[in-house]
Amino acid sequence: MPKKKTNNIKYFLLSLVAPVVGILISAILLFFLILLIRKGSISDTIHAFYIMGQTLTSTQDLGYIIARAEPLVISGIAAAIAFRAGVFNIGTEGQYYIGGLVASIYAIYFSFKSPSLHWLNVIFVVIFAMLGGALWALIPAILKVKKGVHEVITTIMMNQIAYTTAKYFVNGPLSGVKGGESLEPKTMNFPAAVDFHRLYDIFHGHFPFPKYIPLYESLFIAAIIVFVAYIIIFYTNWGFEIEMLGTNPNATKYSGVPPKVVVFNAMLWSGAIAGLINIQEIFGIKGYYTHHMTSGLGFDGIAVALIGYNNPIGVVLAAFLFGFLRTAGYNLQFELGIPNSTMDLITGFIIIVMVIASVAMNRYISKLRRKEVLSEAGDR
Amino acid sequence: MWQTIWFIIRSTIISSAPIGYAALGGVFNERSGVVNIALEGILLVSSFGYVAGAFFGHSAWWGLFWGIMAGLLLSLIHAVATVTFKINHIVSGVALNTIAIGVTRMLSLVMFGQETQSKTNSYTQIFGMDIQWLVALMLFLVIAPLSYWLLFKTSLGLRLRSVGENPEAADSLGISVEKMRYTGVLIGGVIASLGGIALYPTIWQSGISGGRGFIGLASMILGNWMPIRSVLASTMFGFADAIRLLDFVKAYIPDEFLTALPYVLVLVVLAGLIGKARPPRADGVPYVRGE
Amino acid sequence: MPGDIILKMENITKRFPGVLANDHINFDLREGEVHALVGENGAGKSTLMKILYGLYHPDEGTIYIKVDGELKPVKFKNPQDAIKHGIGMVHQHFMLVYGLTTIENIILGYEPSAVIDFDTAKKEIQKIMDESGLHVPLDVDVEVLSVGQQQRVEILKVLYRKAKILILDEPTAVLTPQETDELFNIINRLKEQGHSIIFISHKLHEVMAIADRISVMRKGRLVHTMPKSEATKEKIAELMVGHPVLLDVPRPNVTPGETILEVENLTVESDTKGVMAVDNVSFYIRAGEIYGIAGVEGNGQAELIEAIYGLRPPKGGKITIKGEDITGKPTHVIRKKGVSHIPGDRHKFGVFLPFTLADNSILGHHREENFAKYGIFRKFSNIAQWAREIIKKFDVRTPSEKVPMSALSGGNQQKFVVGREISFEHELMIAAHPTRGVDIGAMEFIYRQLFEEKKQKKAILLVSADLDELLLLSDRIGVMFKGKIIKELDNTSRQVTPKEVGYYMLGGDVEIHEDSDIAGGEQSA
Repeated sequence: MPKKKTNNIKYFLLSLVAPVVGILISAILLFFLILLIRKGSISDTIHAFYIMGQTLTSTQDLGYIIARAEPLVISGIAAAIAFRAGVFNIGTEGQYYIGGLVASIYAIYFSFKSPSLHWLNVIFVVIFAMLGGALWALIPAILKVKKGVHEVITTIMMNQIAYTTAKYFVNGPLSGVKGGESLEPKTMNFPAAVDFHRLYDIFHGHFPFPKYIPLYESLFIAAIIVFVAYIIIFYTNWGFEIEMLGTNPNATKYSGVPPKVVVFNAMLWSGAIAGLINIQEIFGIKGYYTHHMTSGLGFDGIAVALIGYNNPIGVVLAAFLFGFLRTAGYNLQFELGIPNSTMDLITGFIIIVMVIASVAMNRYISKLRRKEVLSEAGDR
Repeated sequence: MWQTIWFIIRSTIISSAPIGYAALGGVFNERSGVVNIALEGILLVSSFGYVAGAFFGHSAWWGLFWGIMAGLLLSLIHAVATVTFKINHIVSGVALNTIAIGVTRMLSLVMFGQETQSKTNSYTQIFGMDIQWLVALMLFLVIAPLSYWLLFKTSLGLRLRSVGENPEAADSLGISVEKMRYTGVLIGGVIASLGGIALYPTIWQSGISGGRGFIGLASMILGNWMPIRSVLASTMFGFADAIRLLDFVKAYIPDEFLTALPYVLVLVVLAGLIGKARPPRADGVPYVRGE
Repeated sequence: MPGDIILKMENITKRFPGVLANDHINFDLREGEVHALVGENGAGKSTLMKILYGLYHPDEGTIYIKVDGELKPVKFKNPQDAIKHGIGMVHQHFMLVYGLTTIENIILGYEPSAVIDFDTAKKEIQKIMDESGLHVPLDVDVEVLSVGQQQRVEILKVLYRKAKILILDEPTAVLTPQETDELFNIINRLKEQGHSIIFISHKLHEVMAIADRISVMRKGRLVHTMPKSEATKEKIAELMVGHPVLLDVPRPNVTPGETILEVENLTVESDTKGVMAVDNVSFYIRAGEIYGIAGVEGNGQAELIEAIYGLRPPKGGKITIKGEDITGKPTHVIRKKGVSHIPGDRHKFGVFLPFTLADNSILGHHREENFAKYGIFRKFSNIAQWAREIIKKFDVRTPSEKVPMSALSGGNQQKFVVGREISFEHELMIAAHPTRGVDIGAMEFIYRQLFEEKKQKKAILLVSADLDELLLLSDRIGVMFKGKIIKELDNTSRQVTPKEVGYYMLGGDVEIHEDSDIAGGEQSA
């Protein structure tokens, strides 16, 4: 029926209202913030927006946007899996510290040294990072399932312990700081056969790939995660059962699906994926492990998941928005002295405005739906 | 010997204060039914508010005023988002923590010329007393007992608790759920702001809150959402913090171990004591008046 | 003797999106009378009372209250305004705050002063308790009180606020016939003390027993008000539905076949450790038989179902389906063995409101090959086909299977759940409160479906709080009391009376007042 089809398009468009409203309102706020910082100069402010727009046209900036978005994509998917099940895993932060640590231990002590086995090393790095992340999610998962302890508080504790653990290993058993070389604490360097290859090195000679783009093999890993997550969430019973639990735990139980098993699995898989969040920086950019790596990627991923409606495609879009804001933020700081942290403020603001708008929209949509059903039922 | 003991007590009190205030702020939030993980952000902005207020106002009083105003403003956003617009409480908290980081760094650059820390503020005395010490002592001697009294002996406290347990019932008795939740979030915000002021009145640094807001939440749970018990629970973290600085402790125990110990302890306690710890029944649940 | 009019509601109209909940209603109340308000679910009784209590605001119309001997128009912005004017409401679902003590619950919202003086409050409440005969322990968490005691707290709350007008919303729904007797004594006592009571119910025998005047509502309109002397049950029932009704669905004559469900010495632990919710229970159900479980809620019925359905592992005993042991098996295995279940609380247990009807149609069987390849990859077209069949067969009013469950009306949701559970292959149907919260039309439809099940030689376990329903449907009735089936009654020719069941519901050793008409309601009202 044509009527139904137009309806579906209508509901799809309605679901886009919230993000658009969020971004628009935040852009207005940003305008005034910059105006404030630039002491009321409208031309500077307009110039600032021009600089932000330019970010999207430069190949190098686009590369940075993707590089910044990549860990957030993984982080967002990790968070989204738990959120869909109604589990608030805010421990992705700690899980990526430990995931990276475990994979680093593999890299330093157990990896293959032959460059021809590099691909095996990549696979093992992924496996060990996932194991590390899952391990860190295991304790909150057990406490939740066995003792009913709320995961928000246990994962917060685990985050703190993760950082300390990482610090202990970096300063202690794995320490690679040699006298007079560097003051920054770090582990020993990984063997060359482990380090992730740059995309430039892979594509170079096959097609013109810009040289100064900091992208690594880990981009493929992120892409695979998005694809598999999408299939699992929307096409399998695993995803369906997660959705059931997140929607109504009691009815889930009555449907013969044990909630504890689903919670446990969701938590563990969320942790496993979280273990991979920062492999780009550790195995691509740095080539060693340190607890002084980029922090906060876990919490950013939570925001990404929320803005992306816990949908893998939405997560990718939200991560790119974040990547764009960061990259544009650096350009603004560089060119106009506008603090990069302004973008943090805007990010937080976008989350709140968007979520408020989507709560309101959802209420409106379900009202509309109900009316439609009632009127059609009356027709018969 | 006595000197060492006094040193440990004093630094325990000072280290506990931000955590204890955050815990107490959490109690008021959650007793009214609002989960607030933005306590971390409140500590951060109120700490900045104090330093900036005192520095530019040339008075600790201005510091107090702006410290509390900063925390209050963040709480107000949380209340509007969660109570009026009924969005998920954790979501709002995550966003506010991001905003807190952004806004303090931005203002620090604008006001002090660098993003990561403020200039040194020398206005740290009130009534001839060190404000950090004063605020810390106040927690144990005044604010905690007062909070207990407010929650359990007054009609305001009774209504606030009723809204956190069963908003529908409270509504049916003509108690405004929204008003009570605003009250809980804002009182909690003011209290947590005192924690930010007690952090380090001399200088503000990006990341100075260092997870203490989260630890405050842990203390609140260990204290079973009771004001005095929550504050006492925070002293455990303060104590671990205090003895880390002692030479003879440093000699025998790795620093990381002592840092991690309280967190591990929380997990252990949670694993064993959950039968006793019970959050308010409507904690974190938005209230929509139904049919 | 009823006195002057103290409350008048004039032309009250309230619209909700798509519904006219109250349509120009005129209603009044005299001093010292019990005015019963009857009507089906959705007739608008609750809306009208919520308007009177200040929870809703009328779109049109005026409320008048007697102030200083004169009727004056009033506007209630919120319940506090209503309370100030002497109106109190006892809600059907108790509005008690667990975690607070009895005394805190009573004074909540009406505290004597900003700093609470608990001693004075206690004295005052003690006085009210003595006058009204409502006694409850004051210093315990209300959560530990029994249902009857909690209702007393609710009435005390209202009296503490010095209410003259009491709205009792279906107060007997949770009580046994004997507890109802006691409540009626209290109502009479309150009447003597000059209180006026609005009594909402759809149990006609209770209305006839307690009311001085009766108003009937139907589809948002108040269709008739009459003194009790002019009323008969038949007349009220006819006014309620708009045409003469006899919910007397003919019972099919089926000879019971082999034993399907057998429960032997079943013992199940309650949520409290060490306390047995189900205590050494044995019974069986044969093919083509409906076995009813009666009892005051909270006597182990819920746990019994949970044990059979695999949600709660039994402590002892044995459960078999067609001779096969299913004791302690998980729910999905038990469903596969041929058990279907219509859960008591639809929204909580039966459906996922935001999910489409299609997704809701396969719950519990979603891993079967027909709905998922290898049990994993979902077959969307098969699922949609299945949902469309249920919609067609059970007359669910919906444009398609793609709309979310939340868009359907309550009756249609319940029809869908009943249809789903019947459609899956099964031998045993566990129906818990299958008609709770649906209108008479849907009720009759569901009764017919259950009888159709009986004809198909299914075994049916029926748990219901509605005695009339149990007596109408069941071949045999087991009465549960404190975890035991203390009596099994043969009802093959509908010979059991409500009074008989009520006697055992209270444990079987309580005396019954022969002169009371309350417990002896009609079988087919």
